[in-house]
Amino acid sequence: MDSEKPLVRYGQLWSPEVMEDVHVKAELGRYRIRGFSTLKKFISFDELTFVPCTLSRIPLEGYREQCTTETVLGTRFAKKPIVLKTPITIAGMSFGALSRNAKVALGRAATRVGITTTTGDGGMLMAEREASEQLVYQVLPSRYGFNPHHMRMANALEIVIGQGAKPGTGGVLLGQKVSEEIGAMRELPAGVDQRSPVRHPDWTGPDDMVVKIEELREATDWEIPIYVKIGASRVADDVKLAVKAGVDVIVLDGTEGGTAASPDILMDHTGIPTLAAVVEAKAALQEIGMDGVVQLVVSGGIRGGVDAAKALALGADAVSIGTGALIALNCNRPIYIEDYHALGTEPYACHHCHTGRCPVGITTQDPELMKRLDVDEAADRVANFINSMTMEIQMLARACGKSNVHDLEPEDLRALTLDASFVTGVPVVGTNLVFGRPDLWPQAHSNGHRDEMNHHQANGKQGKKKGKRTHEERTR
Amino acid sequence: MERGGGLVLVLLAIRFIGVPYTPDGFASPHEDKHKALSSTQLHPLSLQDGGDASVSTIFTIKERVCMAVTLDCATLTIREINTSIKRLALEGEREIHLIHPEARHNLGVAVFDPVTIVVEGTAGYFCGSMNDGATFHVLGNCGWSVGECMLNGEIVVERNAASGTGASIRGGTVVVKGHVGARTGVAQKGGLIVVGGDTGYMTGFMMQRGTMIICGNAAEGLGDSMYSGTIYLGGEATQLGNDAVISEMNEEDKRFLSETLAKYGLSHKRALADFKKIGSGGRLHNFSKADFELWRVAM
Repeated sequence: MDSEKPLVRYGQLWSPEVMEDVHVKAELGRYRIRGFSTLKKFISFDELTFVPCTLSRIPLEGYREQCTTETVLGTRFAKKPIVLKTPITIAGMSFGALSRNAKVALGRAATRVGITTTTGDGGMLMAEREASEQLVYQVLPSRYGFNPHHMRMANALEIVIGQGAKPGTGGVLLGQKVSEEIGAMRELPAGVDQRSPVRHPDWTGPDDMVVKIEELREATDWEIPIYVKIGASRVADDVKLAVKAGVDVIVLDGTEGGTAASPDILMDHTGIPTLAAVVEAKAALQEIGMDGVVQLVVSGGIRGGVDAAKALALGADAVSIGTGALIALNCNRPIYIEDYHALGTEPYACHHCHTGRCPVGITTQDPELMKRLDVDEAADRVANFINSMTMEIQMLARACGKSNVHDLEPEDLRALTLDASFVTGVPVVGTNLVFGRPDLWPQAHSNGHRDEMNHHQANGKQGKKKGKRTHEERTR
Repeated sequence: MERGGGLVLVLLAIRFIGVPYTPDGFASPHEDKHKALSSTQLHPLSLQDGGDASVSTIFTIKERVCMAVTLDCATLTIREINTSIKRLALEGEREIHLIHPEARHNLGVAVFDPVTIVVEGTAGYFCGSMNDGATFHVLGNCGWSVGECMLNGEIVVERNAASGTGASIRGGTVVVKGHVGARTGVAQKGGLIVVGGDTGYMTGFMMQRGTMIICGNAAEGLGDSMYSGTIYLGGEATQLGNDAVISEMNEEDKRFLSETLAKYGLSHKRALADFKKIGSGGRLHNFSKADFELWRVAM
């Protein structure tokens, strides 16, 4: 060490990142807007581990025995529920946020693997409808591009209350991405900084939503499922209100959820992590007797099959991927590196979706940039990624002795940290101790099928699902 | 009562009430002859008594009578009402009367056929919403969001309507001859909204395209954050919304106002000279830090 050079010490409170943030805002005069998702570390699925079968449980033979992945969404009221070949869907992302090639590639991939894609804040792109065999049509506060005829062409509807990246706030699409085509679709002047309202134009609270859902069912002859998408905030209350309003499926987006453009303070400082959200939602559904009647889809930071399997074990019926699907397309891939540098970033660190200058042609309306995304090759990549997720989920389920991925349960998990145990009600590794308050979330801290098993035991029958013990039995 | 006098009374009843329809189809065994009648041919039809469903047979003359079909909402579910409307429209019926609507919600949702639906009373939420090409005439009041997300067609409400009137319409015309509530024409994307009376808070919020005529007064926030489009205001605005500005009316504006108000019998509501033309000032199209006082509310 050079003794004449003082040691450079960076502060924790006024870190270089915080100082840079102040410098930028001192020029901008507003909050910062960017794409991607939160850069903060939240409590995550990484703090759980599976405890597969060994001697006390019998595993399924990984290479021979079937493990079912079929998932049905919308069984409550719809005549034609959605049937997925695997418990994964592709989240709503608008044509406008994404390029035409990206939307078509996602649609083709989804068709190939038997899942759904979802439109976004801008309406239905006909090319996506043609590419995606099962398409969920979003009904957003903005109603940009909303068309009743397109609504009747959809396989399901999704009323969007909010998303995890920016709960309680409307959308933003900066002027550089509002091309002539996007402007025409959204009935806006090209080049405007589009701001979307946060409230629906025609209804306000959950009591109105009852009537709105009936309207949508009337408009679609009660045939297709109605989802509601909520940014994870006051999850228990929101879930109960949505169920009471008459939805078929709840899509819950944790704070890790992605976005093409949002104020970064919302990404980092609003909403709750997906890990906590799924537990809270499951407990709410169980409390009101709607577990298994209304399906739960969770999204927000689902990075692969492991996260998906853990979400299923904690109570989700399916997961939804957005950022993961874009990364599979080519997002942040180390190609066209000079264009990453021109944005002031690097591959693996790029979150500049809001600029419209996506180096790999995904989140852009620039025709030259969009050409960099070959639709068929991109569709292959996304299909491969989803298939890899399916195999990962199945592997973990078989290892836990489950012949159906939906039989994964909290009992198959252990918490690696006290925080994770507190939030999920799963015992800490090496102990049978749960750190939390069972009185707050009694269902989360107990076996969800306890009552059913107790009933069967009282009647001399075996529990419906093997290996399930009550909370009391686990902690005895 | 002599047969001749009874026939006259029944004909008058048919003229004003129309022919009732049940979800299972016409009660008459002669329904397939209904449309093939000559102008002088008598045709037996069955009327269903709304109370105990008893059937009485009468005769009517098709010529010069209003052969509109009626649906008695008091005896039908919303599903039955809407299914009947769509089926009747597909079968070629061009006028359907909804009697005893009793402020039911979701009457005539997503009708895509050129049929006229007369609501003989008050409708609830979402009357005529998401319609493309149909005509609605509501003789009473309307609840929230009449005509929301409409693509094309016409809705005329004789009395008042609640909040969200014409929310996010993309085309067509919504006329309310009385007063309307808050957020009228919010996020309007095209078409025409005409209000004979006053309008509430945040009318025209985030308007994108289209035209609105308000003959009366407007509460706070008129035209807030408009991207584009035009609002003609006959009365006074408590407070214009962010970036809503008044501009000069030209001859074309005046002609449009005069013709439109005359068409809907609203010319007497306000003198042409009282109207002001309101549009977007354009300052909220792209963020500017120099306009902080404007943007602090809008963003």
